[in-house]
Amino acid sequence: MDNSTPGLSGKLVDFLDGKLEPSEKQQIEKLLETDKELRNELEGLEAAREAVKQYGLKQKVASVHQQMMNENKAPVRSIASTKRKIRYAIAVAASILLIVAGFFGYSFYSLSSEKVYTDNYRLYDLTGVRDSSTEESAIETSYKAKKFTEVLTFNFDRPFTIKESFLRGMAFAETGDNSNAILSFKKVLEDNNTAHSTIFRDEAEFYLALTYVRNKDFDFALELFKNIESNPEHLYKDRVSSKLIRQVRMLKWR
Amino acid sequence: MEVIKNLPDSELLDNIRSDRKMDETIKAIYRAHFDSLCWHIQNNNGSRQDAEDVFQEVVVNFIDLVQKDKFRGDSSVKTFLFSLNRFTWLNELKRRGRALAREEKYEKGQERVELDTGHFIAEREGKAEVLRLVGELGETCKKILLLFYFENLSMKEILEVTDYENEQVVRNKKYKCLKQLEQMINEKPFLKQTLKNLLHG
Repeated sequence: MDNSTPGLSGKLVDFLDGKLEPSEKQQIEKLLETDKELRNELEGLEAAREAVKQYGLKQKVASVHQQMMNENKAPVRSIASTKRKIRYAIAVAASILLIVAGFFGYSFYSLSSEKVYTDNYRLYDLTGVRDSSTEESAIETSYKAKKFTEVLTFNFDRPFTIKESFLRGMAFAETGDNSNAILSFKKVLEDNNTAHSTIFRDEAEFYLALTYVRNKDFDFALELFKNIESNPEHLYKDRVSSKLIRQVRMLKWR
Repeated sequence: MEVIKNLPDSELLDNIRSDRKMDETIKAIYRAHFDSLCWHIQNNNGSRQDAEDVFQEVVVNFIDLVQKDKFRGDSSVKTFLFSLNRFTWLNELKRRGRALAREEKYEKGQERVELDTGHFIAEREGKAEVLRLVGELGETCKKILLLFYFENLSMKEILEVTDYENEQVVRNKKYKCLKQLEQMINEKPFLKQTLKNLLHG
């Protein structure tokens, strides 16, 4: 062991670095149990080591960042002189492109997240029962009666079932409360993950994606829609068209 | 020429956890996510420079969280980075708003709202302060400490890339540098707390 550094302090650094022999390590551990000052010193050393690691990581990312920014700069190439025919061809192609761009431009600017939402939203019809509950809950009764505000007033001295969370999500969506609708749908997904079940999972994914659209969280919406589209077993696969995904992409880039 | 490669989440996370191929891994994160997250900032009142700064901060935090096993893959890397990016930018906007509020003497009610996320802001600012503090160390100290604690080089390997006479001299120098940094941190208790939170929080 290094004995050139001041006594116990040196040992403590070696302890921090994992360089002590087992017997010396035990000695330090024993001392640490009773010596508060030594514990404070160790905490200080751990903090210093963590600061160095944070600094190193920041430097590394900054260095890669610089490389990536240089990589992204497109090389400037000189364009060779073109013949007249090629110029005409380009002009014609540009005109066609302009017309097409005009069409897409119109679609692009007339689109809104609210429009995409309403075009694709249909109130969930509560006819089939997919979970194991036998009795209809108060939330379910109110939902069937389309009393969405009432749905949200219920609180029980037990957690909401997955089905209830889903219906609450729908009720929040109906009342225009995107944030809470998102939370409720996410809870459905989380509860299913925990229980390894699929109760209202597909429904929650679809309506969560739609609510993300209305909430302008397009990245999240796109990811969910793409997952649904690529899953042949998904109950809502047919509701997620290429057009819907294209529209959300357009909204994202606006 | 370097091969441009996108990594699946599992490989990316493995690399970060085992601290290997880090340059390649960070580049993969940039290639897969920089454009979209940059767009998000620029579309929310941020400049290109803001977007670059926030993205760097997000990548640093992401790697740190993965290495400390605080990200367990419950969501995709993309979703997680998107959320980190948004949170960091909101936090930055609030920080700027707070500075503005002080300048313009906003009403007290405004301050109360901002206190809701005060501890997050303190964490970010504390972390930035930690980085500034390490930057204040002498170049030699920074180099030795980084080689040992960040690059995980042995004393022998450090000796090969420095001008010291022998390993013992390197060891002594490293000890003194670490103690110096410890003292600097001890002089600012809130920084020590920030670092404790980063370690154990």
